[in-house]
Amino acid sequence: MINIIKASASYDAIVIGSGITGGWAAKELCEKGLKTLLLERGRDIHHIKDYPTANLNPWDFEYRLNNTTQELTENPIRSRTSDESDRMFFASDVDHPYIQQKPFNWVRGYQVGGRSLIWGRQCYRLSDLDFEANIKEGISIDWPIRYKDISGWYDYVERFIGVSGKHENLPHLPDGCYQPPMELNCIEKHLASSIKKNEEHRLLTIARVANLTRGWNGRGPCQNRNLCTRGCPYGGYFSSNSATIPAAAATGNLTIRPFSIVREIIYDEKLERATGVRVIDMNTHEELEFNSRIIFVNASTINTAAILLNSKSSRFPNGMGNDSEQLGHNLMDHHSSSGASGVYDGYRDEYYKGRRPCGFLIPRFRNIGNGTQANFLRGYNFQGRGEREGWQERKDSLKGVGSKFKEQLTKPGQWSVWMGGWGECLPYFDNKIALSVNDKDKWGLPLVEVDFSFRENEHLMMEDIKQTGASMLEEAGFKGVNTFSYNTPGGSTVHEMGTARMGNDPKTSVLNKYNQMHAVKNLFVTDGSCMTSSACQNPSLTYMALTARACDYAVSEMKKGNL
Amino acid sequence: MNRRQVIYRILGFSAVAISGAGFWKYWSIYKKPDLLYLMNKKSLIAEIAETIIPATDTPGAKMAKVEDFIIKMVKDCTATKSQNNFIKGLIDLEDYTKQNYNKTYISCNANERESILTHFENAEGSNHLIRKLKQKIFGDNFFDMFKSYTVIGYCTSEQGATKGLSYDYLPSTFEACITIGNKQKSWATK
Ligand SMILES: Cc1cc2nc3c(=O)[nH]c(=O)nc-3n(C[C@H](O)[C@H](O)[C@H](O)COP(=O)(O)OP(=O)(O)OC[C@H]3O[C@@H](n4cnc5c(N)ncnc54)[C@H](O)[C@@H]3O)c2cc1C
Ligand code: SF4
Repeated sequence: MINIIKASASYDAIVIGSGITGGWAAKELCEKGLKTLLLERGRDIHHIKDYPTANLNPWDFEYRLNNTTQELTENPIRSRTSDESDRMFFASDVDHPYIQQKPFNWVRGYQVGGRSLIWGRQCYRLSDLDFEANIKEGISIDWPIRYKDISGWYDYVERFIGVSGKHENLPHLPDGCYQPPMELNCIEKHLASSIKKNEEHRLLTIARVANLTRGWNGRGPCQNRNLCTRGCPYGGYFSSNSATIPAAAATGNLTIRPFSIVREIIYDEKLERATGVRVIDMNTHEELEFNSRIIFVNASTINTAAILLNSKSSRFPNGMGNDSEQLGHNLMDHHSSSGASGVYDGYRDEYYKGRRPCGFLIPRFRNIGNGTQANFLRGYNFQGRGEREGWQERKDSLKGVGSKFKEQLTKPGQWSVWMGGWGECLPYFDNKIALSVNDKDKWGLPLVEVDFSFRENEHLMMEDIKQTGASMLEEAGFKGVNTFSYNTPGGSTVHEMGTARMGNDPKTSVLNKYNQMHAVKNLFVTDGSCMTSSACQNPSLTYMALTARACDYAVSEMKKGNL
Repeated sequence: MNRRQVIYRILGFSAVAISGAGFWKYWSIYKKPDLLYLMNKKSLIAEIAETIIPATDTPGAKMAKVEDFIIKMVKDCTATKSQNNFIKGLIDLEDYTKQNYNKTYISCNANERESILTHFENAEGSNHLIRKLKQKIFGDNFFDMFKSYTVIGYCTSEQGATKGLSYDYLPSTFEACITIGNKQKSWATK
């Protein structure tokens, strides 16, 4: 079905990266009839066949899902978010070093499918509260689009990927096209009704996730195993591997080439176009060139900026399309390291069955509507979950030994709720990535240097998250309410974005309102690097909608003879 | 006194404790751990684990072969400082048993074994904050580690997960609120 090519050749379109956004670009372009080459630096992963751990039990793993000290020391970033069961989908720190000017956790998935295999599947729309924030507050530059420009594309994407969720009729968190929602459990319903009673402008709802509650386009439904990051043998959640890449391949227009590290994009000064890409074969280190009429860059925010910065020519001495000097700058990531937790004495006869692969959401309530309501700009939402404590929590807190201890340990513990605030991060020019002058990786590519920190606005928000989270739990009768600040560095929420922002003015932005590079019209960048501000919603749904929209625009421009 | 002051005071206390303990303490926690000793103590480890989680109407730690898991964890998943604490803890436990009961742990009866472990569980004091701080500096303490590894090993074993707890391999549906009786075991996985 998918042919792997060895020699250089020419295509209608090249897509760089096969993750969440690259998969979408490939599907859209192939479906519109373009012969498309999808270049991916990592190995190929076939849906189901290449999910070796998906059906294993805890006792099938040598370390029962604990990381060894060797793994922790050699791969400090990878081991934060992975274990034996899903490590194969996270890039190794040893093989793929980068430079941290300040601590920054860069979590990557280098394979066909990218991080679509391991993402958390939370899908929320942005709204005009988000698109208008920069211009209203005089921060950074204005977004070149508004909600009406993208709402239809959200519909389009949701209908294809399948999102379960509940309509809540909130203007600042627009409803989408949803499958039936997953259900809140007793304690979550309890908290929801307390919030509704005490805080009329707040609500708690079930997460909106790309996990299928109904069969959909030949996939799913989800079997409630909560083992998604291993790959799903039921196709119960959206990934490039389960959905977009098969759709692209079905057209007969897709060529996918794994092990292809894109080094740079080639620019032709006479034509004033990008004409192709230079690729290093990961295994043979041999260099290849591929040409195409249009190019989509979807290598994910930091890698996309790195490829563009590395694409130098006399027209673009500082990186392709970098007339504005904004390329690599304005790096953002949500913060999600503060929150609150507590336990609840009650509902002792109630439990749940099955492992719902998501938690709940308390949509943003700060600084919406009229006037400012906090000592910081923008806002955050809470994401959390309620459960009865199990052996995992109680192994360190239950005193004693022997049969009484065992009896208590193996009974459902008290109900508890953990919730963290996912907060907006403002775009700061000096939060950035750059290419190292001296250090190179195994393939001779300059190492990426990340220089990122959260600032006062984010820290004030984190304080508010703690106080507000704790008081909602206390009002609902929770005991032992605890606030936390894990103080995790940037990158930890894995929502990095902003390094090639969109804008109306080529002097202050890299891309126009169609994700088209201002200075190179046949080049499109539709991953998170295009984001002009971060909002506080998990961003991938927006990246997908922007990708589909940009593909539509690109093909119509080609048809008109403009590209 | 607010929380921060408490922490400072304890830190002060710990700094004194460290400087007092001096170089020997430093060496004893960072030296290369004697892992062979650990292997030779497999049956003792199995018995201690069984005291923590005994066979009742459901299998205990020994049936779940928790000792193999504990040894693996200490060897491969435990930092050097804590590895040394673990090995030293085993030696201390044997000494303590000899001194107080004049026999080996294995020849002690169930009640004696429980009292011995309770002694070690309480030895670290009950102040959670101090315990945590000590662990930060000197590594995890012997008994906490032992108990934690026993629980993990048991609850993730086939015997423990499917018989000691409830294991739902393929839930299919999610039922958000079900009513349970007091015989309900907790779920083995989340
Ligand atoms: C644990 C986890 C949980 C997450 N949860 C959520 C969530 O709930 N909701 C949400 O919206 N987002 C979530 N995310 C973030 C989400 O995964 C990313 O936003 C999304 O994958 C970005 O899509 P992308 O196409 O830009 O990048 P990726 O999916 O990362 O794909 C990029 C691809 O490009 C390839 N590539 C990189 N460099 C090159 C090169 N030079 N040449 C060729 N190929 C290259 C990579 O190998 C990769 O396959 C989560 C991420 C993680 C890790
Ligand atoms: S929880 Fe659902 S989507 Fe996730 S792996 Fe299991 S069946 Fe698949």
